[in-house]
Amino acid sequence: MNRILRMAMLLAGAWALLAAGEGPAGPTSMPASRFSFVDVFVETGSAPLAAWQFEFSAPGGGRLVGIERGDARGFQDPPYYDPAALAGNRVIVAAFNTGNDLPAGRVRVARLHLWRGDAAPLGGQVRLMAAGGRDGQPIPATASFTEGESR
Amino acid sequence: MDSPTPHSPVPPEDRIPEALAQRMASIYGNTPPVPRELDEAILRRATGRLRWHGRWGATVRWGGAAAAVAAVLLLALWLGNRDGDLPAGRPVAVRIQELGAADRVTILDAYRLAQRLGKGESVDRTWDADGDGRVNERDVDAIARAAVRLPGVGEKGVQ
Repeated sequence: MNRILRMAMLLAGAWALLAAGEGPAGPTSMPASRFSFVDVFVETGSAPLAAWQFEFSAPGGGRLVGIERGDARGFQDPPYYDPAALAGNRVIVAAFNTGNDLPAGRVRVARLHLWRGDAAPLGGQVRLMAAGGRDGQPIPATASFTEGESR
Repeated sequence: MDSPTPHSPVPPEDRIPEALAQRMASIYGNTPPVPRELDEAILRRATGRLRWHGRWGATVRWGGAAAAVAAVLLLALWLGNRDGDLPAGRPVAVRIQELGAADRVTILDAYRLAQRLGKGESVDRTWDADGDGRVNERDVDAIARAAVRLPGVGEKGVQ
């Protein structure tokens, strides 16, 4: 009977320790990791956008964990990117659309998902490498991004 | 008939029998005599014409053959160059191998090729990005993958 009691007390103690470890981190514990996303936009004015390519980097912190297409009309397929980039914080993303229904104006072309090890500023940078119109020729355009918190 | 002319002496063994000659003459009538001058004039003209054919015939034959060869060469050149307007600069396969260069391939190259293929237009072989001897959708994919490849990161493939 004593052995059973001792066993029960040990199990209860172990459970209590595990439960304590799962609680909210205090100010002195490790920084909480979190996920965020970056929406990348290409601004073309009134010119239809048929192809785009940008480079994104986040030297301040964070690791790319996933990339998905934006909500641009006609760009239904996932964009091209190098999977090797997911291990780091720099990636080149691109897509094209040979259809007739092309978006124009401020186009959200992609969403990048990042894992943030800490709350340090992302320090993200986006560089537009190519933007082309229906005829395949470069069009004047700019790229920008906004950051959001994943839940 | 039986009196051979100086131009065409007929050996005695080739002469037709007298009876047959008379029979044929009775059927077709007598052949009017041809003056020797007229016979020689016709012969001279025919000989001259044959000489002309012999001289100019060779010229026409060789000239025609040369023209045919030139036409084939011109056709081959035209077929080979009619797509030459598509590549911008050096062949795409070369530019793919030079990642990081100023004129590296971009998604615009893939887009242009996809457009041409989508319209069913023929495309220059310099767009054979994957080196399989054909230019098709796989080359579009290869160019797009090359465009997003990160120099120095690795060659895992691209999604």
